[in-house]
Amino acid sequence: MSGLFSSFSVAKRGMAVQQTALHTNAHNISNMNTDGYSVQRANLKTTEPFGMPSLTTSAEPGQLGTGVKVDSITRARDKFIDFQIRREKSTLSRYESREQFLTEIEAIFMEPSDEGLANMMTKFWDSWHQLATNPESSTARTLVSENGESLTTAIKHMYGQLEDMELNAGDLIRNEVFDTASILKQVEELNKQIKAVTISGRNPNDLMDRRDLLMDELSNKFSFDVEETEYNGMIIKPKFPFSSSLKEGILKDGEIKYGISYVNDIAYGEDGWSIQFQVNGDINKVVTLSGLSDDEIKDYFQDSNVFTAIKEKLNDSSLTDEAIKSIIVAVKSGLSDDELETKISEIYTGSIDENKLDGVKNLANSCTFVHTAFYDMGKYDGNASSFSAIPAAVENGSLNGFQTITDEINKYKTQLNNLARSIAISVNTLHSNSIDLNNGVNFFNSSAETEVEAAKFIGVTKEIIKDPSKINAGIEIPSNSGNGERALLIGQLRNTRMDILDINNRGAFINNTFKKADGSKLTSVEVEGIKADGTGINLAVEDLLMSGSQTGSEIDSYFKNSIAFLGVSNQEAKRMVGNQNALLSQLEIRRESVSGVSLDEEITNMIQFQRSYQANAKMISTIDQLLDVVVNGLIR
Amino acid sequence: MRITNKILIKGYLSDLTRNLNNMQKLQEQLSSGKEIRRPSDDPFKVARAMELTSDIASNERYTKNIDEGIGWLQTVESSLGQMTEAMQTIREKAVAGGNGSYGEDEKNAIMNYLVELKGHLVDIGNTSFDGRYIFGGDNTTDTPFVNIDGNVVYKGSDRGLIREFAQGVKMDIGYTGDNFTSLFGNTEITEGGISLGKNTTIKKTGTPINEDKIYEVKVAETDKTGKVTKISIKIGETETDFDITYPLTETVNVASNSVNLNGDGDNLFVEINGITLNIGKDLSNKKGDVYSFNSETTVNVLDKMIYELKNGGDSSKYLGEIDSKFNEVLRIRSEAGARWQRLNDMKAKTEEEHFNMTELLSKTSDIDLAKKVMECKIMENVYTASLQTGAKILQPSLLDFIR
Repeated sequence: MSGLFSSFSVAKRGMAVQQTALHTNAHNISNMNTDGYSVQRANLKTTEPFGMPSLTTSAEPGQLGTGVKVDSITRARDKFIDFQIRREKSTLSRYESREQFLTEIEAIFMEPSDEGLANMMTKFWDSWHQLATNPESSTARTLVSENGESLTTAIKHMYGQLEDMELNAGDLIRNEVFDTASILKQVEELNKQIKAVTISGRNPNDLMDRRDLLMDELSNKFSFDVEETEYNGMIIKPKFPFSSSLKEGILKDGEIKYGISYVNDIAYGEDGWSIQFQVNGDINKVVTLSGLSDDEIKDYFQDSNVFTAIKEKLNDSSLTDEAIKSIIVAVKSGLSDDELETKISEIYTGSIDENKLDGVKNLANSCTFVHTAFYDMGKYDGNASSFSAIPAAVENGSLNGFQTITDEINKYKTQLNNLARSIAISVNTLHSNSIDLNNGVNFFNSSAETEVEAAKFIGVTKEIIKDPSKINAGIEIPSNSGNGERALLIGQLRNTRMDILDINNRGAFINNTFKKADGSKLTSVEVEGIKADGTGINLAVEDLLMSGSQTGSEIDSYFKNSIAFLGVSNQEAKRMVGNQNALLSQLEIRRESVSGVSLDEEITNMIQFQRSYQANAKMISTIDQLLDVVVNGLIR
Repeated sequence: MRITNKILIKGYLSDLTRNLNNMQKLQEQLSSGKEIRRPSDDPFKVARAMELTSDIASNERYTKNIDEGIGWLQTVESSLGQMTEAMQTIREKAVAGGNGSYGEDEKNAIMNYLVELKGHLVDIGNTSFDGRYIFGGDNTTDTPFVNIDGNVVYKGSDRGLIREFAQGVKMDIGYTGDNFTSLFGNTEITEGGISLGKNTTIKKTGTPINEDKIYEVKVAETDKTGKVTKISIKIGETETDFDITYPLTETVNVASNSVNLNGDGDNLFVEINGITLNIGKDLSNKKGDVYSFNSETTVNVLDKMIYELKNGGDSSKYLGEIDSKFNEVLRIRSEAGARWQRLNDMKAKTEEEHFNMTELLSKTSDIDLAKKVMECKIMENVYTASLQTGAKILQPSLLDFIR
């Protein structure tokens, strides 16, 4: 039989427990708008019952309860939803960062509009046609020169904007790396605390909420898998589309195994490759590794756009990525053409001619490098010698988004270069009537024909700007005032198909675009012959025919295709952002449904616990009355 | 499912944002009148619009070219019309000049008339359109026919005017001296040689030549420095080669005509029948260049008739020659007319194309105003409704009902 005092303590315990439950209630309500907070519940349990039936105790019917206790305070959380949300968040933030930039690129190209490049080109070609009709007119010449100027200014301006944007994307990657490093640091700290709390047998609910929130943020940066370890510990394993040696994860429990760093620059110098890291994305912590070999550097070149383009150029889809990486590294290390040819022939079995080589060189030069790398935190002691890094072409997330954008900006830059180069080469060849860069009057700067960054150098020559009457309109140089056949030929470039990627010099242009009057193709010997002659070529209709290349595209179409591709890219990004947002909001609603704080629910609980508290108090007062009977009633 | 207050708010907010996004897009389309503003709106449509815009621009260029070509050919045609009339008159006068009963005075009057007509023919040859001479080939800025001491000299070029009137459709709308071989002679004879450049057909005019012979001087060999080392002279059907060594003073005989050759290394003069050619190094002759003399032009025939009438002869014996020249002019005229007609047909086609493409562009990139306005109105209603819903359903909670 229990004593009254024992009942007292049951009621007392009851009050305390209801109060704790109310406390949790209050914690929930006050955190109802806290990000990442999951609703907590005080799990009540009966205390150990009094008196187990045994030989020494007087047997009574049943067990005597001893009241209630708070067994645990747990948070409502569904790990599977977390996993899904993180996966979708990575995808969303990849496309969000892409959309942000692609929309800006669209603004740079300004298509379709009257101010766009397409219209400038139309005007430029049209002015040649006009000159062809009015070769006597000095106004028509000035117009050609003016339209050439505005076309080249537009190309240069766009190119400059793309360059700025590339830098901007680089800065953003650095910021993301910085953020990532700081998140990892916080997770590392939290992990330590969580482990300590867990080992002591309690639930680190709020700490785990905070860690989950950080993991959500981290999933914005890149995709990763999370593996759980004992005592609420965890391993973060980033996902890579390429093979990687980071299998054991970058963070394990309370220790960061691999830190993240921003790859600022990769350069090739006398003593091999050098690479500059900004450790944790911190511009003040620069580590430069130098004297690296080709093999050590090649994993930094993983631009899938360039890979595909090189495969197409060499017309060999069986080329492995590894092989292409070594070609890129070879080109970037500035090998001479002959050395390069030997190098490529080691990897590639097909025949390689000058045009293919030039094409591959242009493509390889435009390849961007991976801007993020993980470094071995354990080994690194602040000295460059202890710094060992693994390039991280991470999957999804903003890091991947900005990286692919860098690649893509580079692609548009390359396309702009190709465009500028083919315009400069084709117009100059026809205008100067020479295969020699320095022969005759060039319409565009000849540097635009030779430089890799043609779009940066293109411009109407000073000679022409100063004196537009130097523009050759006639088929003969000098020609009769009424002859506009050369201008017409240049104007017809608009409708001439050419293999723009193959046009790296004037010989290639002639080879690609012209045929002999009988329809047969020029042999390379003949093109060489024209070159060697040096006196100029007779591009008059009788000798050669500008018939275009069957496999090529018109210059305008080439640009139009770039724009269409940009449109498709951004359309995809926008659609994905829309889809992912919808998906994510569904998932978040599910998470909210599990973990969210419902006001109605909390208020109901509050009333419930309040009433229980009151009932317990009432119990105490009742027992007090009983005691009064015992103390004051029995003893008289 | 457990629904919390936050779920309601989140869902509401995301719907509201979506509505606003749709509204913004519709309003942008309405205010710009364009279905597509940037490539990502519809990449295919944008590419199509760009293609159409550039096609329309080149179409407009071709329309302008055609208009100008039509104007040009009209001028050519009307000039040739005048020429036909002049030839008609020449023919009449030639017949009249054959009238045996005419005395010296009458024949003199006819002769003077013919001299005037010769000048008239030259004037017609110098017709210009928009400041450009129409019969000078591609040399449109210099007067093509110049009368020097009774010799009509052609200063134009033998290259035509190539114009593009549709993609890949080139047409020569130029009329060169060559077209009028039968009409005008074209040599400027100056002291010591001929001042025209190489490869120019040179025709002798002036004093009537009774032999209908063509003289040709061809450069057969040159040395490295460009000096002519061998020439080939052709008179009638006879062709003879001559090696040249400098200095040179020689008289040779070709088909019983004496030809004087004079050369000092820099210049090489060839004199046949009183006409001197300089085919020296200064003129940068190349192997195969040809100079020729022709005595068979309309002006020649006219000159022959004038000569005949002056000497009291019968001008009607040249009627046959005049008729063949007359037919030549008619042929050129009808050819010009045919070209003019072709351009007119092309114009109609180009205009039709322009119309079609403009319509297509409009269909591709412009909005259907009525449809868009309707959509916008619907969107506005949806938006208003969602605002009202928000104001109503987000308000209450249990808190509102407990003391």
